[in-house]
Amino acid sequence: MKPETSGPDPAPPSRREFLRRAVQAGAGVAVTAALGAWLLDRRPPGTIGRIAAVDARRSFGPKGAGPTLSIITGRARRQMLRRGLAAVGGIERFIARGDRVLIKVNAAFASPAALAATTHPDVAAELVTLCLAAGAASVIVTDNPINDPESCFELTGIGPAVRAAGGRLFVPRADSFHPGTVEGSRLIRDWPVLHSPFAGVTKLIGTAPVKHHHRAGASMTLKNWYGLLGGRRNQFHQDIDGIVSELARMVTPTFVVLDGAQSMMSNGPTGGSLADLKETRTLVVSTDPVAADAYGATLLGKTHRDLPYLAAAAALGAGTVDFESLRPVRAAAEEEG
Amino acid sequence: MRITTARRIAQAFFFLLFAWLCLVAAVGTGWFQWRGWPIRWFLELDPLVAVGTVLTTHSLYPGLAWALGTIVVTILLGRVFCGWICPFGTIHQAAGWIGRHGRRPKLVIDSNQYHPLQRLKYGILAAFLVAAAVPPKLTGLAHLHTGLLDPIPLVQRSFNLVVLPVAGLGSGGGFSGGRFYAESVVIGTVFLGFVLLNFAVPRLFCRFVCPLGALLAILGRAAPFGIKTRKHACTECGACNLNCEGACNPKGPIQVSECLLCMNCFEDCPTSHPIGYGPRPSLAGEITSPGLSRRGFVASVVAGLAVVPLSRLSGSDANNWQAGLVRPPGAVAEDEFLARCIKCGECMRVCPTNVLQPAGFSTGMEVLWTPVLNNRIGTSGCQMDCVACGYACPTGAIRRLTLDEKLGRGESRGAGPIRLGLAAVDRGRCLPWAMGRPCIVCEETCPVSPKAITVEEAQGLSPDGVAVRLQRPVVDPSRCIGCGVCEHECPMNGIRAIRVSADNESRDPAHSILLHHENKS
Amino acid sequence: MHSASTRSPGRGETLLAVGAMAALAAVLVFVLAEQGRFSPAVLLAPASPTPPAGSSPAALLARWPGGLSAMGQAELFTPATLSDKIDGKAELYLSAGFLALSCQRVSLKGSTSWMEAFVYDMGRPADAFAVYSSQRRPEGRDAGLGDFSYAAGNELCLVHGRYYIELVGSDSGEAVLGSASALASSLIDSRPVTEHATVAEKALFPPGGLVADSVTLVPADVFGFDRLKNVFLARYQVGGEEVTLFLADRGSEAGAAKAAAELQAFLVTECGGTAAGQTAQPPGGAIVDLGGAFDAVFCRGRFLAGVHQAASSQGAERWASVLWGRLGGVDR
Repeated sequence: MKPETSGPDPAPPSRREFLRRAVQAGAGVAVTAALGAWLLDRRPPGTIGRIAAVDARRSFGPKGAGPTLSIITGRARRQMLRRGLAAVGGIERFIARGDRVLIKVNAAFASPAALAATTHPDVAAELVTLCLAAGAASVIVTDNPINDPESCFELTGIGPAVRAAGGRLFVPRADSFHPGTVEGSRLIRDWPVLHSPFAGVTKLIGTAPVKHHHRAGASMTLKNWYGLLGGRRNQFHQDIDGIVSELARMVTPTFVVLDGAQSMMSNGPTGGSLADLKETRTLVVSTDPVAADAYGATLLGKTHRDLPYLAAAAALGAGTVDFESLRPVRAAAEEEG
Repeated sequence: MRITTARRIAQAFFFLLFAWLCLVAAVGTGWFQWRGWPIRWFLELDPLVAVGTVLTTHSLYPGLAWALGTIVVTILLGRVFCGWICPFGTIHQAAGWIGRHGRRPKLVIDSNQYHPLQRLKYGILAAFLVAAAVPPKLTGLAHLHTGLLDPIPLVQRSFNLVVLPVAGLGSGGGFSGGRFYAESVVIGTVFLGFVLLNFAVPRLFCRFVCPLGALLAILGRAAPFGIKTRKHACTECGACNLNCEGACNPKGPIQVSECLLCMNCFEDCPTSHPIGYGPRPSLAGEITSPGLSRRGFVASVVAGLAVVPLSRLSGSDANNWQAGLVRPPGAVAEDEFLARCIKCGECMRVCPTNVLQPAGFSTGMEVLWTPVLNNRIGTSGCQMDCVACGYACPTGAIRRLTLDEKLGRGESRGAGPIRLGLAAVDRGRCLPWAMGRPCIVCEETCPVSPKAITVEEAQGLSPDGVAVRLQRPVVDPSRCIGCGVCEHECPMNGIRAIRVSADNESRDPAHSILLHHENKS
Repeated sequence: MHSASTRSPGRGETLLAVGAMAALAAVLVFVLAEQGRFSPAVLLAPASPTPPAGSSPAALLARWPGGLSAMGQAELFTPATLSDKIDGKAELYLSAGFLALSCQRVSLKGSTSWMEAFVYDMGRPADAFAVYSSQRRPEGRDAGLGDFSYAAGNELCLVHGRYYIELVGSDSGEAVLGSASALASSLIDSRPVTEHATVAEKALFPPGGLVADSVTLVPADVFGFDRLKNVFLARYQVGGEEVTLFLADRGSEAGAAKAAAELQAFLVTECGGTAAGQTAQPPGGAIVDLGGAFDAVFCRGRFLAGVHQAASSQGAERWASVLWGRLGGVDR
């Protein structure tokens, strides 16, 4: 920036020069006044940085036909899943060509698949494969884990299995959440909810293993939606039945897969020992997560009465605890090898 | 009437007015109290306060519209604010006058020569404004740091927290003194240091450091009116530098951006009217550019750009948020608070209980000298029926609350009371919990109704083994408003046995510890 | 330093200077106008850190007795704020059903002495007596005011119906105490009461050996037992022996029997006492050995009564027998 100087002792100040400066100053004053008027109390204190909550409901229920439920016995998860879907009308009933599918797995902990604290990689991968085979345009697998997200997906085996099957993994970051409110909800009000992976999604599948849970009694497909919450969500443990039932109302999935090939009978939800597991050799596919969980409770030696959130979720219209009323299809999967 | 006489009168007038407005900043309706005195006025006149908060918040807090007036005057007339109004400038001018008294004229003339380092202040300004203007999309809201060196907040803070209290005029209610302020040594040293530096170089702060001066210089550099010099009439005697406040080289080519319009060159010029005032340009030539080199400018911008991510690196506005910083009632969420607070100390001056204190270095550079509650130092905690701090705040870092809003009653019933934080009993230090001695002081003094502190009846053993009936305090987090009265009164007077942290403060929903509906009771 | 310029200001300069002075005048007018428009902060907030509890009365008395004048305004405290004023003593008042305290300082004209008047509204005369008696100074002299009163040192304390009044002087000089009596009379006259504190129980204690003015009504936590409330205690001194007798009207025979059983159980389970037999007279009374001190508990009619901290089991029984006899006339 070179200093602008006028030469030594130039001609007397011209009227024109003064006018030029006066006009310039006048323009400055006008701009100041206009800016001031425009900015005046535009954003009063306490309104900055607050993002307005949006509707947090996630509705992806299948069209047509009533709720269905299949209960498949067996050992190999992939076969059980295929058989279970076939029993309720096949994957084509739920996933159409061009659908964008989001699969919410349980990848809460960075523990190996063998401990059954997380969704088994076989279930996640088979779901991806089936959806792609049914013509899905994209399949995204996500969760907001408790431990470090990257290691959760890798150490559980879900990450590699999903990638191998052609699915995409979505690892949430701070900006993947958006404040959301569920109309009429007592607890989910202006709360950060997993938002960005839902962009453009047309179908939602939930899948979780059957687990004992110290606070909630049991953690299955409904408790699995907890992973859609961000923020300091552990404060909801003050009212676990309330939050799980409200999550049931917030989320209407296309269908859920409850994996009871092995059930975590004690020390849930983390487990940590094979001794906590029991071979219960069952897998449930249902469009009604309440019914699926009510059946899952029996695998843990409980009934739906032991899990107050089930009745509460049913009362909020999320499903029925009387799974027999859905006339479940019971079948055995052919064993491989 | 000489123009320099008028200037001296104006400086004396504004300085006395400033001191008076500091002095009366105490809650009350007496003549020596707040009443309706416009105690925020000098801060509201300050364009750097207005520009800084506009850059961080994209909004002009209503009182700061006064600064538009200052901007307009500066665009038309140049740096009148610096030479005629600024109370810090007046202090510097007085100190500089004392400093040069009796020195040889040659030395004095030399000390008032323009120095290229005067461009430093433009760099400081650029760094501050760039830091404030970083788009929130990139890093979140920017923190505002102008208050550290902006002369009006600086002198206001120094008067509020150091000068008046030291003079025994520190009271929240009249002239009774007895106020305490943390950080007073540092704040006082900065103030005194800048004043004493006038003995080395007159107006050193104004010429080399002042970011407000830099802003006004840029705004006023093309003012239609100014000092003009007729070169041919000049004998190059240098007398015009004898009392030149801005070191602007009046004999020409004049550094327009540095001229404070003190008009002393008129007075000191021995020949007849070679220097005058009027429409420009000066016949002896003028330099209107601030003259900051490209390299200097880029360095300032880079420094400014680094400030925001740097201060966010500590995570103190994320998961590592500082629960020890309990903010005054009506304080907006921390991000916005740091985008607005200019550390002027007005809230700390008016707080009737002296519980509001400047935060120290240990809590982080980004929160330095911002107001926090210290329940040990004051005469009580935050008073239920007081909202004075919000009305003293010039920038809306503390909102102006009604009592209904603060207490969650009337129209604000649904929103619940303003919670500053949450008191928690330290059961290892509490007399009835840990030491078998009866005490229910916290329960008794809890001002919330129904009380947020209740007692559990228990049988305990006194130290000499006799059974005693004990009442052990328990805090109900849904009722506690974090006022700190219990902490203030706790008889464990070193580390209190009941202490308030910012947990559950209502200004940030993310800091809530209870479920949504429970906090509304 | 300043070069003595002989320059005289031109017209333009003077005009400019005068214009500047006019601007200063405008600022001054603005500031002076502003100071009259009170800030909401000032109107909402208290000037002092003490939160006012409800409305403060302007003064305790509409007209002060001669020689006295008010120093500042009266203060009013409620159960929520009482501890701000009297701190640790608040619990005693609160347990006795305290409603409100009005207090104010008054100065003696023509002297540096002053006093502070505390008027506690306790709601019921019995509660006023309770706080009066449990704080009564042993060296106090009857002051002949109100229902009960005494003067001690720089204090004058009295019960007037539901009110307990304390006047605390800055010194114990004649002038202060004389003014205190006058002020007490004015306070009594200004507060008419329908019910006076008459303590019938006082007459039930045997007169022999009774320490003067030692009859006390303890409102709560008697002997540290949280369920024992409103019990009269009286101290006795015979020879070198000291003992306390107690009695309380429980309203019905069943109530008294229940209270006696509870107290007896409390003494054994919570105070580490051991049952040391029963008394023949009173019939069915229990003696409890508390490690060398002996308590007796019995009931007669609707009264719970007993002996506290006798030196021996025989002593406890003897005092119990005397007290039992006194209760004979009123037990129905």
